[in-house]
Amino acid sequence: MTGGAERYRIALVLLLLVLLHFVARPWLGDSRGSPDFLLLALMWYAIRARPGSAAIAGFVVGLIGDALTQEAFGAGILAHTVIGYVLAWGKAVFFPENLLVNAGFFLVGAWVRDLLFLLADGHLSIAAMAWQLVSWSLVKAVTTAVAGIVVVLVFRRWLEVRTAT
Amino acid sequence: MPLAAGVRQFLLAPLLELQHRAEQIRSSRADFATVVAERDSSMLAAALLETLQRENERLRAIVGLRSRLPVHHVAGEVLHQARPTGEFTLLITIGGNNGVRPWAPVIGPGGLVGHIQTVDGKTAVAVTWAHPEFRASATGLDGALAGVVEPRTGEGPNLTLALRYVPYLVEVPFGTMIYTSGLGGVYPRGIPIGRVLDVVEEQEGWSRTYLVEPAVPLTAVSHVLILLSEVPDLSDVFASPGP
Repeated sequence: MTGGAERYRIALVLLLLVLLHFVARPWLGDSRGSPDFLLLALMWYAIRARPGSAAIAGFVVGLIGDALTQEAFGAGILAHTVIGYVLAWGKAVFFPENLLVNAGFFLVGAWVRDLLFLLADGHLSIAAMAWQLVSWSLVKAVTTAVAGIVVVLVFRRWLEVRTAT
Repeated sequence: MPLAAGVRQFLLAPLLELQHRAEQIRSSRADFATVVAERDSSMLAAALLETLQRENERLRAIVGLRSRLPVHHVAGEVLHQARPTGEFTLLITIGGNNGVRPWAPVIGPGGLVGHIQTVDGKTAVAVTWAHPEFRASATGLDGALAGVVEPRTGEGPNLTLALRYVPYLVEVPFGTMIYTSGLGGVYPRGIPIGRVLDVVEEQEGWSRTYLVEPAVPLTAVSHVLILLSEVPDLSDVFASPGP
C-alpha cells in the first residue's frame, strides 16, 4: 500500500478523525446533518487499502456504531463493510489521489452508507426512507464530504495527495 | 445484547468518555451546565454553590419542570450518534450504577422523551418517541380525550407524532397540549407529549387522527431526567401551557 513513514501518517490521520468523531461532533449542531468522522476515517482508509482490509475496517466501524445505538444491530456492520469493500475496489477504477475524486467518494460513500443502513434496518416505510435520503442523509453526505476535503487539504503535503482537479 | 454491551463497556469506553467531556464543555457554554453540575466534583460544587443553584433553577425552568421533581430521579447527558435513525434511540451517560433500570421513563426539556431500553453499568439506551414501535396512551389535561400517540413518518424530513383513535365526537382544539394518561404502566400520568396541530385523518363517524408537534425535539436534547421511582401522576410538575 504505502511506505512505512506514510503508514504512520495515515494512522495518525485516522486517529485524528476518530477523536474528532467523539470530541468535535457535539459542537457541530444538529447531529442529523453533522459530518460522520468515523465513516470519513473508514473511507479515507478504504481508498488506500486492499478490499479485504477495508471490509474488515468497515466491519469494525459498523460494530462500533451498532453498539452505540442498538437500533437494528447488524445493519451498520453490513453497510460499513460493503462501503469499505466497494471503495477499496473503486480505487482501481478511479484516481483517489485527486481532490474532486476524493470529494465524490466521500459524498457518494456517505449517502450510500445511509441507503444500505436504512434498507437493512427495515424500520422505516418507503416514504420515510425517501424523505430521510433526500434530506438529512444528503446534508450529512455533503458535510462529510466537506470535512473530507478539509482533511485532504490540511494533510495534502504530508500525505502527498494531489489536489489538482 | 451482550456483544454490544461488551463493545460499549470496554472497547468504546475511552472514546465515549471523550465524547462525554466534549458534551460537558459544550453544555457549559450554552448555559446548560446545571445538570452537569449535579455530577461535578464536590469541590467545584462547594466553590460555586450559589451560582450552581441559580443555574439549576434556570435549567429546570427551561425544561419546564419544577425546581424538584417529587420522585427520585437522575440526570444524564445524551450522546447523539451519527446514524440515519439516530433519533430512534439515545445513548445516555448514566446507567445501572446510578440506579437506572429498563422501562424507566425518560423526560427532557418540556416533556416525554421515551423510556430506557437497555442498561449497562455506566450507560443506558433509551427508546424515544420517534421509534417506530413507540406507543403511549394520551389524554388532555382534563382527561376528556383519549387516544394513542405514535410516531408519524414519511410525511417530511422532520419527525412528528400522530394522536390516533380519538373518538369522532370528541373534537380536540388545535393547540391543545396532550399528556401521558398513565395507562399502560410505563409512563406516569401528566407528562407532556406534544401539541395538537391539525387533523390528518378522519374515519367518518368513528375516530380522528391528529397531527401532534412533539414537546421535546430530540435533536435539541442534550440532557434528560430518568425517573427512578414509581409515581402515579406528574400533572402538577409540568406547568400547564394550555391552548
